Amino acid sequence: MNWEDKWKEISSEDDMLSNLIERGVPTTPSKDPLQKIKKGLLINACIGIVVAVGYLLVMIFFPVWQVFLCIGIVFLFTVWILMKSWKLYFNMNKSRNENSLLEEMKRHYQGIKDWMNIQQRAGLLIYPVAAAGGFMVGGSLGAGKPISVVMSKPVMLVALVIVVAMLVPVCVYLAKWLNRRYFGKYAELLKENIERLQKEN
Amino acid sequence: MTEAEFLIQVKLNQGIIYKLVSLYAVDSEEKKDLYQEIILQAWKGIKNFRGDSKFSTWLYRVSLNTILTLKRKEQMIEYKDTLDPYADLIQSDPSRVDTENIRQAIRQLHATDRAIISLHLDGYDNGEISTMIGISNNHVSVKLHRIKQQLSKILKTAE
Repeated sequence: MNWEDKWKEISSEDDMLSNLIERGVPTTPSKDPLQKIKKGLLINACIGIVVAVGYLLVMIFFPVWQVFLCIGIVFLFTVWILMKSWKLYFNMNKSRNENSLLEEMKRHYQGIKDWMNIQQRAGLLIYPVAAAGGFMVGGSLGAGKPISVVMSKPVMLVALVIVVAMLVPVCVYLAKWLNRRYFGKYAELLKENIERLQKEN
Repeated sequence: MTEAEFLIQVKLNQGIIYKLVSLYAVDSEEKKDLYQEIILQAWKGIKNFRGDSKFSTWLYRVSLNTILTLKRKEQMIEYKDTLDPYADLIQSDPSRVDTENIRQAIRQLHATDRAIISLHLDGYDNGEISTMIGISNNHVSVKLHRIKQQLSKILKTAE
């Protein structure tokens, strides 16, 4: 008996799975990683819009050129990230059941890589702002004085630069670690499968 | 297609999903997860099914695409399904041992090789496999040759 015949003999019945189909199409959320990323993108986009509106308000209420310059750059970067996220969200939305296995694995791999890149680019902008903001607000609360008074001392400016220089790489590394922990192995497995299929010998 | 019509079609072809899921799942929990995800993805994509190919071929493609893009880790462990209703039969029927050996041998192959050999064993020709997998016809022939050699080796070792 050859393999094909033996293969046909392998049971194509399964009581446990048969019971599942009796319940109809599952109503549980999809476990597709791209669906999870899509949800993440939507949440990030909503937060991004709120943050961008906040930046606009700051520029309206503090019409000083230094504020315009700093917040303006941050605002433009936020809008750029928002547009990239939006584009990625809609590309992921397309149903690709007609794709070949190789195309589908490439689509998933690219989706995850794009998501990681967006996260890292957004992080590079957000972390310095967050670190500086946290330092100034923390300093002001700790000293019980307004931020302008606290930051007027040269030593505080030096400390601010040191804090930002130390915290930003730590945050970037942690973000990369988290992304790798959550999607890293999955992306590696997809990459390995893609390379193996493409390998000619 | 209504949900009821879709489910009838799936039931008629559910053997495809069972066999594929049993080649990839590491335990019964993952088996259920993969199965449910396949049904979900097939239901979401059914509106794009234009009937150019047979429903079974389309479902095969959806199943393979779903399994290989959903699995997060590759575990080359022996499949032990405590809920397997055929476990006792396997113990007593020698021909069953043979078929089970085939399944276990295929499970030891690389995930993408499992996809190619299962399509071949289910009667798809190299052209169809090439379209479903996304590699050239020649590449399919070379791969199939190597996979069969590997399978023979695994089965010999198992004897």
